[in-house]
Amino acid sequence: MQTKLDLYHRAVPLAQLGIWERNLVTGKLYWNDIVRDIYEVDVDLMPSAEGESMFYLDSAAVQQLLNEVFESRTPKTGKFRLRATSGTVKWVRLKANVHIEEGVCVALYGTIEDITEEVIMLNTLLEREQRFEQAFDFAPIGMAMVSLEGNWLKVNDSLCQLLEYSENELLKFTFQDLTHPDDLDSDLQQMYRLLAGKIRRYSIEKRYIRKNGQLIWALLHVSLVRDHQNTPLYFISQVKDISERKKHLEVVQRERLRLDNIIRSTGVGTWEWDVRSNQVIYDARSLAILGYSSDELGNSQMTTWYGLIHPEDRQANELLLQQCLQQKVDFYASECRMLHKDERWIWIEIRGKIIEWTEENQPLLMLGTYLDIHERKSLEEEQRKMLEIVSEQNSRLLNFTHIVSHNLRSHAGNIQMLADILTHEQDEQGRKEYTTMLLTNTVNLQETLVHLNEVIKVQGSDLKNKKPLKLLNEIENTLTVLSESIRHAQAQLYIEVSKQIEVRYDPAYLESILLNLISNCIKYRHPDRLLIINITAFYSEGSVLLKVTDNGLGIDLKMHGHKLFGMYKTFHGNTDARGVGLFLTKSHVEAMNGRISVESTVNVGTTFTITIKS
Amino acid sequence: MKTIDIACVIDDDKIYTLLLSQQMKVINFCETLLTFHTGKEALDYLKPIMASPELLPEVILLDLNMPVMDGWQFLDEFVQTKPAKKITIYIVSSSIDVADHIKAAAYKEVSHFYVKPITRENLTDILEVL
Repeated sequence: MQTKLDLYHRAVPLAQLGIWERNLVTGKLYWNDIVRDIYEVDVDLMPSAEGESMFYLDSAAVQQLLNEVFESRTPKTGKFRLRATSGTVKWVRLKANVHIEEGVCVALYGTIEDITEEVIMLNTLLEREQRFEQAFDFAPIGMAMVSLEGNWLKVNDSLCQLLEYSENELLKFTFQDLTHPDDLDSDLQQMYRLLAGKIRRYSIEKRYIRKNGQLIWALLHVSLVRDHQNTPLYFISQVKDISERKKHLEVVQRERLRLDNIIRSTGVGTWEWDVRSNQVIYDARSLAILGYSSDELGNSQMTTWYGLIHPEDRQANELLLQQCLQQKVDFYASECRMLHKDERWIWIEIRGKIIEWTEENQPLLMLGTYLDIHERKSLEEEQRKMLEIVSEQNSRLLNFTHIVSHNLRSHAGNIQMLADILTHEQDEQGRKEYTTMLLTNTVNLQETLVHLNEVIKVQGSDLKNKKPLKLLNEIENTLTVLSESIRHAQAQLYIEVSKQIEVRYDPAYLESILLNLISNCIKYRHPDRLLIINITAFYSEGSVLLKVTDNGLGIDLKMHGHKLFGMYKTFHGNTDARGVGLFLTKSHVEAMNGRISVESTVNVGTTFTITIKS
Repeated sequence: MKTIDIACVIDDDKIYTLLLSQQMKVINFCETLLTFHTGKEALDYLKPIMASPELLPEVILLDLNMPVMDGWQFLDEFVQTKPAKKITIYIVSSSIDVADHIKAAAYKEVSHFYVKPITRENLTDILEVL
């Protein structure tokens, strides 16, 4: 007994347990030291019931508890607030019971504990939980607590509205039930990593299925709540509706794709030029037009690209660019030749516009396009050449009809006049003379017809008769034909033609051309000096240039130049000049796609130059 | 009908000039006929006598297509000169090229464009106009 009492006295201060007793018979009150500590009163203060009730903020409630114990004779517990002597407010837990002797209540006794810290902690926890509840319930985005298995444990209004389920309906599902099958895997993958502790939270964009089956896009944030032993308890999920954003994004992407397809279908390549850094970015199509791949020239300087423009077109393009930069023109639009990777010139249409300026009106960014117009340009060029040929043929044809009309008419006119005179002429001798003249005229007419026939042959000839010919051989053959005339004229010949030079030509045409030019030298030689003929040939710009030069009479080009190569045009009054030679020569040269030109000074000499396409 | 004192024919077609002179004789076209085969020959003859009206022709029949100096070149030189007498120029050519006819009309010195062959009636007309 002694020992147990001793133990009691040692344990009570340890538990900080206040012990009190109120003797109902004597009215005497007992407090132990702990009670005095709680009330903060001295050891020598005599406790009294009235004094004690003064400490409690709600003393009536304390009294009521004691009354209940007294009447019911059962122990009871209550939590009360008191103000200690120092004024400090404390929470205490008060326990009370009755002591019965022979059926009569003789005393009330009990304990008192300071539970201030406990209560404050509890209140704090409570407040914190309320705050979370509030945040959870009234959050503008969907929130849920989700079990480790995926069951919705608690959902807020926003989530219900988002998924269009009521709270009760939603709690019957798992999140898996409401996730689009295509998005479930990635969600679960992340969830497992979160559970395994590899990540602390995750965010994904996924589709949920609404009650009506409609899909909505949402941004999901998930975190995991663990207990203090780190055992996972539940997930906190935040779900944000991003359907609108997704819709806009889809619209933008669709628009972009549509634009891209349009651009692709036009074959246009695009580029953008950062004016200040001089960097140009070209898309794959721009590069492909010029034969490059993205790795080669995808990102380069503007000057690199200007270097690819044909030298003849560069200045115009630079000027245009300057005008753009100085805001003199709105748009850059140019058709020019550019160097393809495989070393050929192709026609490109370049367009552009400066779309960003600094506040000081300095250009910042220029956007533009490249379009391959080579085919169109080539076609145009071909059409232009065709038109040129057709026009030329047309004018030759017109010239020809006039020649025909003129020459046949003059002979016909003469014949008509002769016939008229013959009918009137009585004198036999006269008749004879006129008959001879008539005959001469018909011979002339015949000759004219032969000439015209020759001309028609050239005009109508195709180009199938081209053969490779050694130019020097052909010249020598011609000289052999003309050897008698050359000897007679005592002409000196100087020939500078390499044996190597070979031309593809109609042999008959080449012979005719050489014969005409060389015989012209002899025919129109100067009477006062010996004839010297120079014949040279050399390669120039992919063609062979053949030059025949003499020191003869020369031709007044100012007077006759425009009709030098016309038919039946003669210039020197020579009796054997028929005005056919140069006309035919020119026809032959042009039929072989060549050109003929002449330089001449009267009384000095003449040079004919023939261009032979090789 | 009046007869011209001096007429001039410039044409490189020798048969034509011979025949024309025959025709002229028949209708008594002129007292004297000057014949030249190029524009240059004619000009070389006419230039020194521009101040002598009694030597100048009253009528020139000019061909267009000639060597050395053609009808146009002759005309261009001739309009620069100042003959002491009115000289009427007729073009007589085989050309039916409209361009030639339009060009001829631009010269006020050219009275008419005859297309070959020129007939006796044409010659008579010329006489009547004078």
